[in-house]
Amino acid sequence: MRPQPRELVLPVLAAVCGAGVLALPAGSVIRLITAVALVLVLPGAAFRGAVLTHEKHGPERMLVALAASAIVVALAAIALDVVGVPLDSTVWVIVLVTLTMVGSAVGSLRVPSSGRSQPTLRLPRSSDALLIGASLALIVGAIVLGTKPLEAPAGTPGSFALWLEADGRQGVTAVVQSGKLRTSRYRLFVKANGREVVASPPFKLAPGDQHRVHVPPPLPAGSRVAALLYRLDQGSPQLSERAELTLAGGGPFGPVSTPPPAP
Amino acid sequence: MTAEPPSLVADLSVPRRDAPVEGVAGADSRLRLGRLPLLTLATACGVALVSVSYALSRSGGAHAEPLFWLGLLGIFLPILVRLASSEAPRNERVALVVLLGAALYLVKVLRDPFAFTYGDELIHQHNVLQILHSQALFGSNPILPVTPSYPGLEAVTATLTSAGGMSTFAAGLIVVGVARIILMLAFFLLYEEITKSVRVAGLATAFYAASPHFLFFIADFSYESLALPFAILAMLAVVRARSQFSAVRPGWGIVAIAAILAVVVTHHMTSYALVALLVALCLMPPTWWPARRWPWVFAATAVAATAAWLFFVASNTVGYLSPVITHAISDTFRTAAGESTTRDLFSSPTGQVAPTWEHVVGVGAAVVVVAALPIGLRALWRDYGKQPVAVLLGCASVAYVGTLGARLVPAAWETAVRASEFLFIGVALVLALAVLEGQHWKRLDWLWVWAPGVARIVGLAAAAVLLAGGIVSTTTQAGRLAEPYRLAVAGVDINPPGVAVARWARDVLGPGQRIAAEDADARFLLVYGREHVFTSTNPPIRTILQTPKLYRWQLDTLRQHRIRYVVIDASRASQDVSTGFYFPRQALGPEDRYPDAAMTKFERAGAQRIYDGGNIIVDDLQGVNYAAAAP
Repeated sequence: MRPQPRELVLPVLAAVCGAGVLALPAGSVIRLITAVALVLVLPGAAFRGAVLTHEKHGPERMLVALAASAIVVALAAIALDVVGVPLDSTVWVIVLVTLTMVGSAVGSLRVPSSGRSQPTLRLPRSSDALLIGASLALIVGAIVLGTKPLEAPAGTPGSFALWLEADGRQGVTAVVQSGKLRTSRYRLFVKANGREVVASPPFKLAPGDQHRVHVPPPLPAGSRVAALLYRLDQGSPQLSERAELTLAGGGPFGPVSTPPPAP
Repeated sequence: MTAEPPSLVADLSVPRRDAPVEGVAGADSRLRLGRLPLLTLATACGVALVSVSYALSRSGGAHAEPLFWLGLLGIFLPILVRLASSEAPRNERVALVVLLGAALYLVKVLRDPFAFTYGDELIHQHNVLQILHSQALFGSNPILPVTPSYPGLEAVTATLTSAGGMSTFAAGLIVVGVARIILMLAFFLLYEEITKSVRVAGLATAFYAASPHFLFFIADFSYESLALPFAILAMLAVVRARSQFSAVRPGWGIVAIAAILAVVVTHHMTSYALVALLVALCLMPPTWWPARRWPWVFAATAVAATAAWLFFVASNTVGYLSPVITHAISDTFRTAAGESTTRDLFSSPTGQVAPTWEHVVGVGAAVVVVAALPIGLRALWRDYGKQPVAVLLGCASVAYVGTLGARLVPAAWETAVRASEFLFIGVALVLALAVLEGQHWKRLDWLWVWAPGVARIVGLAAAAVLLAGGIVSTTTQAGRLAEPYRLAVAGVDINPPGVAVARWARDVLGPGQRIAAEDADARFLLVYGREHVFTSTNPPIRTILQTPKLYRWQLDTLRQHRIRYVVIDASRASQDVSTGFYFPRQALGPEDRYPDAAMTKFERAGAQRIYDGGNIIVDDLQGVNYAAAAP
């Protein structure tokens, strides 16, 4: 028995979407659409065609198609995990395309396409289409506004960060990262074992900017390095942040020091 | 005066399975959509108003809250009115409930469009990242260890993430959005199957959308958001598989079994609720089922699958749930006996008390439900008294009233609120029946004749109170309006301090470090830092971080768990997973921050401050001197 063209729609769509998932670059809109179709629509649609051959109503068909897709993926993931198959995109493409093809074949065997009701495509009235178009425009506008980062409320203090990074050659770099909401002036001092080794000239940091001050090697192993950051735009210099680092030689990462033995 | 009809069923359209699809075929060959386009526009206006309200809220503008409520009611009420009418055809009703569900989901998404910010969302996002990294299920989760044992949601999301080459955030939003559509369709078809009325089905589905947790909790990226739609589908499929239409029965039976299995692997509480429902259905008189077709096959499947999953896969669920439930029960008895105090309603975990209008609306919503129950239950018993699922849902609606009292018990309120997600399925049906019963109540005929406008306004006001009351009773103002998360400053986008420290930890310390932090910071460190975090009360990290003095038992605890770093956040909001993820709206005052001594106590004992973010610092405990801690 030769398959009718309608019976091939789901398998062909699945194969095309599978190829799209494997071939299209990550982040492209077309790959996103093909992935949604392959993961959340097609397996369930095939499942629905296989088990609910007599269901004629659109809402029921849509419900089972969507839900069965998620169910198939969830249960198939567990089955694959149990047998030790890695859950990567190639495996998923093979599994989901196969399941869609099997489901479609079962559906075709149970009820040939000649016995199925033919869906009809009708266009809405122009006034209805206009209203729906306006609605879509409003929704898109709402989403654009909702996803746009906005300026902060007036009193928001923003954030700031200071830390030290060891460079592996007994040198360190002090890093200042501004998350403040306005540009400010700073000075940075770096001390090693209490002795000043770097005093940076005043510098400005705009929101989002990073400033790095390198302390060249060699510093003695086990040196305790401290970075002190002063804000300069509030009258007299004020200590804003400070961070410390003990250079290698102070021991590997480990838990809190061992307590003394019980008396 | 019209005579009171003998039953609602006589007044309701009863769809036949073989009837042509209503509302699609028109004489002019054009698709007739009824009021759907107009209501879609009204709904879009509502969503746009909410979006404007969020933008105002995020940027510190005024009038955000009135706009939020206006938008929300603009979405809900016009659709409810149309669903209450007798004119709308079936397909229009289906489209309207899907539209309602999708619009309310957009309200949630637009509140946090940049990242997941509900406490459970980041926990599940970590599970997805773990699946993508290991390409295997059943990883570990240091904050909520039970969640990897129920990988349904994460498996689907990870599959979509890897197939689509998209972020876990985008994939999660899509999966929960699809779950929302499944939920609305399943609810409509279930209520329709039970009552044989598209009018009751539409109304009941809309009333479920007004339940306290529908707007935010059931829409968040959490396992219940997918399990609940599966469960409702399972109930629908069970009822259809037991129906008299033999042609469709076998297929729906397979759907029922698949949905039951999917619920079992997705969420523990939903699977237990489904088991309870199916077992209860088997206890109904056999004569109530068509051709005495008990659903025992489905109940047995659910019991066996749930038990097997619990014992062989997710045995840690017992240790997770049993303390919560036993504590809730014992505290309920203690409160009833007057041995412990009741909980303050309408106050946040940090002690903020809600404004008076929220008290009024919250209590008003409970009054609406309690007042409508007798009317709806009377109709239910009269018309569907031998419909097993309807009777069970009627019982659930009565149980819901019981949970209202349990909200006064400190240890039981969360259990009561969580139970309402399931019990409200019955409440929604009874409310729908009460509305239609009220329209045909002979004693109210004078009202409909002389003041139909007043009757409608009262009905709309009650519906508005029901929706708003549910929301205010489960969220604070900050929890429902948008908070500053990603800021635009001089052309640069800036993320909150918690995200900055998490990314620093990943880049500088490397992933997998054992770090103690407050609840909100810990979730950021888990997802953006990929760190092994410790938080909250077990072990007692919250106490360890907050005391001004360092004690030896605290160091013992940190050592026992091999914790190398502590993240100390001056902001008290950092322990609250509903407000701790955002930029503070103003510099922290003394009442908003922990004492400075708590911030510096580890350094006084020899720890190194390796990251200073102002209000948030990271200490390396390697050099801590045990002797410096207080005994």
